[in-house]
Amino acid sequence: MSSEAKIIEKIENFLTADDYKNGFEVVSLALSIKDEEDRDLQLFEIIEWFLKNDDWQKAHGIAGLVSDSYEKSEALQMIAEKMAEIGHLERALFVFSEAEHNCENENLAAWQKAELLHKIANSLQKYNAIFKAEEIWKKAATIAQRGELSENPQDSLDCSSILAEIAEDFASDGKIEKAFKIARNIKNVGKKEQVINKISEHSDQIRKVA
Amino acid sequence: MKKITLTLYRGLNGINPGAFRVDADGVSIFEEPLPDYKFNLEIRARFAGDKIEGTIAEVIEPMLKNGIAEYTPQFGEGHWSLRFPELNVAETKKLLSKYAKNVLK
Repeated sequence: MSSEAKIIEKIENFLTADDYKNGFEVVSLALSIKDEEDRDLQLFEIIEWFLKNDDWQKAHGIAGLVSDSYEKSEALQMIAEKMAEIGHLERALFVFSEAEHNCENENLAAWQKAELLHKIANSLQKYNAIFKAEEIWKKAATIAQRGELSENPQDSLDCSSILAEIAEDFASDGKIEKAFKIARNIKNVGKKEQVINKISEHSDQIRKVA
Repeated sequence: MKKITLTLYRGLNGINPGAFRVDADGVSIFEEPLPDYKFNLEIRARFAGDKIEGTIAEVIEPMLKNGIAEYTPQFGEGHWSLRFPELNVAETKKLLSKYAKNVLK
């Protein structure tokens, strides 16, 4: 086993044992990992662990040590959600904004940016920051629609997949017209047909209830 | 019935869980390697009979046991949807990341 693998195993053991008093030691271990992706993933898992222990302050501090990556944006979104959950809504909005800005990282694929933004918008809506959520969904849809134009079939399809998810979430939230508007413009025919059928089901259910 | 083994590919620029897009259909994988990625993660699967829309192949990578791939050409040429019925989205991402680290590093 390589020395980095041993460090990762040690971190996993700390986290599994819920050894909270050694929290800083575990961060220091993670920072000693040379491989950036491995280091970010371990820091991300430590952040999840601090959040599980309701310590969003430490979690936020550690997020600053993560390189600009998918993990960083996801961690910030989770921290903001925890803050909102315990009533620090104004500060949470600031951290949601940090998460949003991190999505602008050029190393992320279009579908990753759109997926992260969609998660942030969902969290914002949950805490009634409706106007901001709408703004972020618009941004996510624009990025995904641009990404669909990629000649790479996997990137293009993953972007269609995000748009389908956004459309279906809108439909399940009763925003049928908005859902159809996004769905009808999805480039991948299979994803488009599939999500239009799902939106129609949601629409029928709403009509039945009304 | 004759069994056919095929190698399916997922293009990756990173190998952490966030590199895998998982939706309700699963993870998109393709019959041909994808251009412009740092890695093409290979996943072997086996099926019996004719390859038609909806054909299910069993993933035969030891680290990915219980994985299935469904032939879904409606989403693109040579497209399969990889799923782990017992795992949720986060668990699927973690498993694939672990597999990628094992194979590609």
